[in-house]
Amino acid sequence: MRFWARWLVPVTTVGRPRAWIVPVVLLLSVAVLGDEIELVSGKRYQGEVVKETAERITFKVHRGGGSATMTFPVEKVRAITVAGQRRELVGAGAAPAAGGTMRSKAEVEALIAEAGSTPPDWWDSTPLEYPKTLDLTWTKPTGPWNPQRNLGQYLFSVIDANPNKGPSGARLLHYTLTVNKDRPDKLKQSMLQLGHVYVDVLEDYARGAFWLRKAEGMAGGLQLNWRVKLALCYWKLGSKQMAAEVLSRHRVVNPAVIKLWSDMGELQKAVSLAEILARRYPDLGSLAAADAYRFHRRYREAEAHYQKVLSLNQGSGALKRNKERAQANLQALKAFEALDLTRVPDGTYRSKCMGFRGEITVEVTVKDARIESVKIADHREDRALSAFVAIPRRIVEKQGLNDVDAVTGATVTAHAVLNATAKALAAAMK
Amino acid sequence: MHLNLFLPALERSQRGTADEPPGAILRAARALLPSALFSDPRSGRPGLLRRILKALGPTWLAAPLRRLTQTVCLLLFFVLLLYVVGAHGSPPFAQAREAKEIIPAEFFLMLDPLVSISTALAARVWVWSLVWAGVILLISVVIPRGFCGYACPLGTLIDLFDFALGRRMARFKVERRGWWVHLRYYLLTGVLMAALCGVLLSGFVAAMPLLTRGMAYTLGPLQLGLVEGWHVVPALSAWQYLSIVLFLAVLALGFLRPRFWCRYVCPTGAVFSVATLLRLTERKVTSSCIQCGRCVEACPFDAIKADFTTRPAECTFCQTCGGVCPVGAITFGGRWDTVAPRPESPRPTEEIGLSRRGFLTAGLASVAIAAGLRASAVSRSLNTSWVRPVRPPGSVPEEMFLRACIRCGECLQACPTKALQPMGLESGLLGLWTPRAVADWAGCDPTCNNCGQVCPTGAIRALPPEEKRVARMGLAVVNQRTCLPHPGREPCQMCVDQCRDAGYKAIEFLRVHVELDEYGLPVEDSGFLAPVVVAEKCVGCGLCQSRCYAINVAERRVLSRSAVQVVAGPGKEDRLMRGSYLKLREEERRAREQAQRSLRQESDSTDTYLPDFLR
Repeated sequence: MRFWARWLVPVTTVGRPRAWIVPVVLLLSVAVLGDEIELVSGKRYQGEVVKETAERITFKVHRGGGSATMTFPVEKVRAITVAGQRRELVGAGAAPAAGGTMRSKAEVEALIAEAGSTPPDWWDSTPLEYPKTLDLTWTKPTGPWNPQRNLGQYLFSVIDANPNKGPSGARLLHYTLTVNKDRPDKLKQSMLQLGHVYVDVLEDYARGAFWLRKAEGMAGGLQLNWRVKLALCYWKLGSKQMAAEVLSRHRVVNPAVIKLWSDMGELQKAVSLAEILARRYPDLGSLAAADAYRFHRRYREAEAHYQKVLSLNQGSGALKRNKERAQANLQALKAFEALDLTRVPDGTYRSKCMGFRGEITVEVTVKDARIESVKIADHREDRALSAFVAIPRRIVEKQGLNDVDAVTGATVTAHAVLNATAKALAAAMK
Repeated sequence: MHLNLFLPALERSQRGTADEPPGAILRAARALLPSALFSDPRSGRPGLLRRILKALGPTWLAAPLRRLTQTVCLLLFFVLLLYVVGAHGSPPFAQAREAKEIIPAEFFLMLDPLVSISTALAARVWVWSLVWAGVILLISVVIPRGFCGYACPLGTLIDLFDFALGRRMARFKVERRGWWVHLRYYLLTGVLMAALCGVLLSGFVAAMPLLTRGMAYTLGPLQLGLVEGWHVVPALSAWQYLSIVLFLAVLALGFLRPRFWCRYVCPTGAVFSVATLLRLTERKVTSSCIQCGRCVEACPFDAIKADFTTRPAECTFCQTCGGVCPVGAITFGGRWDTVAPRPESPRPTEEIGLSRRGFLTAGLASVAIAAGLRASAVSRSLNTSWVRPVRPPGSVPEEMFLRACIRCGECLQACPTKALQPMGLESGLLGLWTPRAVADWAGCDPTCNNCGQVCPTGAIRALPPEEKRVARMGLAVVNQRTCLPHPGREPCQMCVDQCRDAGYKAIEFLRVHVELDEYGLPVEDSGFLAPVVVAEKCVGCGLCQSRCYAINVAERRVLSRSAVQVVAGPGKEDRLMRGSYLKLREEERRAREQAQRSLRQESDSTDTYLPDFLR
């Protein structure tokens, strides 16, 4: 209605109170809009799902009289309930152990057989595309690294590097099945790589398992890393038993095995295997143990193991990289999960993080185990300046860094402020 | 017919004669408003309104409606420039502007008839703002040169300058006559001749582009700096300072005579003067004239000569003369109305006539300038090392762009990230002050279509946001020698993140420098993820380049120039004169699919999800 038209409306129909409308509308809104979102952290919000994409879910939270729109990255969401239907999200937080979609062996077998024989939904919309120079026959590469020529290198350098290219890679690999029809060893290579793309890139565990098992049936069976991948599929599909069977058949350990045991809730098993691994590769073993403890929220032990990695002088060939990883994980742990403000002495701490146009310097003041203030000491940003007000305010409100980023969406500036604060607090923690 | 818009001098009513009965409006006003506001004709005591106007100044008292209109127009100009166009709000920028744009942001530029006429001549196309030129010229048939007297914000600004500074300095004052008095006609001739030769010069001298550019180069950065901080204001180039100096020079002409620019130089005013040939109304002086000479003194445009005759081509209908006339001898009405004429005055008018030599000189000079500029432009396009400028999204083809861009600076003011900056002489004199996207400074925001929406001539087409998003301005090219991950210097993925966040997803990763284990297999996570541009998805917005420059060049100093550069040129940009960019994209997509289908036909029988031999 145009504003001047309001004057034409008789006053009585506008002004008459209709008290009964309020409870009816409330009732209706609860019945119709009663969505729920459950986070990995265990928090639940009531409201309605506004938008859902592959990366994030926008949720309108009804609180008290009003509502606020929040955006969550999918990896932080365990499940959403829409119109009474609960749906587990496939991702780190939605492992079967957390949600409880356990399946019997027969059900898993049926699932694999069903998925394995039907094309995925993206099949028709994905063209068969690959560089003209690519050799599809799995010839053993010679000469320098050339992803435009060698199929394996193409998968590693192009498909794995761009998760959105998963369908394109899978389609190409399906094509190579026929190309290499008459050479069993090459055919098996195609199957294994299909398994890899379905599991690691597309997270389609039923089809992953299908193709890994096809490869298993060929001469030579499966090597350890492929077996772990198959076990992971079984676990993700809901059968811990099948996964455990595959894993137990082996005596050799690697970090992937440990991680899977840990994911399946077997912390003791994971830690004991990590100790075995640590005898030969102390860095890999301690890192795996630390990650397992962290996953099970035993932060004190996790911190100790990360520290152990950092103190090592020798280890596997990738010691330097493992140390960097331990350092990054330790910092995130201290800041986001095990932030203990009582361990931070009173004082003002500064840290920097690269923002949109340059480094952002943040000044955090802690007093009596409370974050008193977060100030932006220096910056060169030219956009998203609202983050400079909103993020510090939320950090102080929440007295921590968890879930702060979930609200604003992922702007570079917001994340830089958050990470600089995290760095400052983690470094100050005793 | 009367068109008297002035406030006549207050006369005490003579005893014994009847007052003229007041009009309907005045009667209604008297009935509704307190009587203290109104003058009393019997005692001759001025009312509050008159006293307020008098305090504002003699011209306010004489022609309050004109001064009020001028004030409103000047304020409107600043609101449009600084609020509607200049205050960008937050993304989506297209909606932020639309919400504020009740009156088109380029309103005054549209009204300047020289802008649209010269553009249409130079580019030989229909420019839609010609409609507005037609409207304003039609209005000026009824109110001759009314734009100059009532609406022109540059004129009002000059009035303000003359009031504040010009009248205080007598040293530079010049006589009423001199070689310059018809300069505007010669300039107009020159501009139109150059336009006929395909070179648009009106942007340098027409009133509205001159004012808009002057304000966009001075108040624009000032506003941005004060509101958002000085670090987001791009440094002004020497050529921008030149533009500012020229603008100040236009104001400083007021030291010579009040409104010197408007009287003698402004070619836009000359267009209106020519239009007065068709005027329906004009100023008349009746027999009650006492030859006091107040009107000659009051006239800001030298339209009243020493013999009290009117020069309609100069008269802007400001009607100040009517207000200052003590005997009410001046009236504005139909051109062919008869009034009791004023007796002839013997005083000489000392006028200078239009000279054929002036027109010839202006015409020939402008043709020569145009030819020289065109020749330099041609020689440049033959030079292979010349770097083509990246133009705003939706710009018409370069040749047409240079013929249509009026260099008003409105797009620069409208650009929320200041990615658009004026050129110097990199593209020759022809390209001076034309907008170019400087990706080192900022990228073109994917939610914004402001530049095309405010362009008064269509040099940048007004595309809806979704179409602007797919209009290619250029193509990002990664320099594989300097880009940090490519030679294995260090990991960096800012351009990829930037492109993904903007929604284009035109930069993909390629893993390079992969380490191999003892079996010759690649080590997980080894090597670097290096950026690769997917040409068919890239629109050349420059977000990637701006990030690489801001961090790797300006902040960390690990590079001397951004490793990803947006380049323009044939095949790298779409510059459609007309037709939809969306359709163009759709056609390209179909062509690609066609090519794919032919590839697939070879493998059709074998390209199945689950080959039969594996069932």
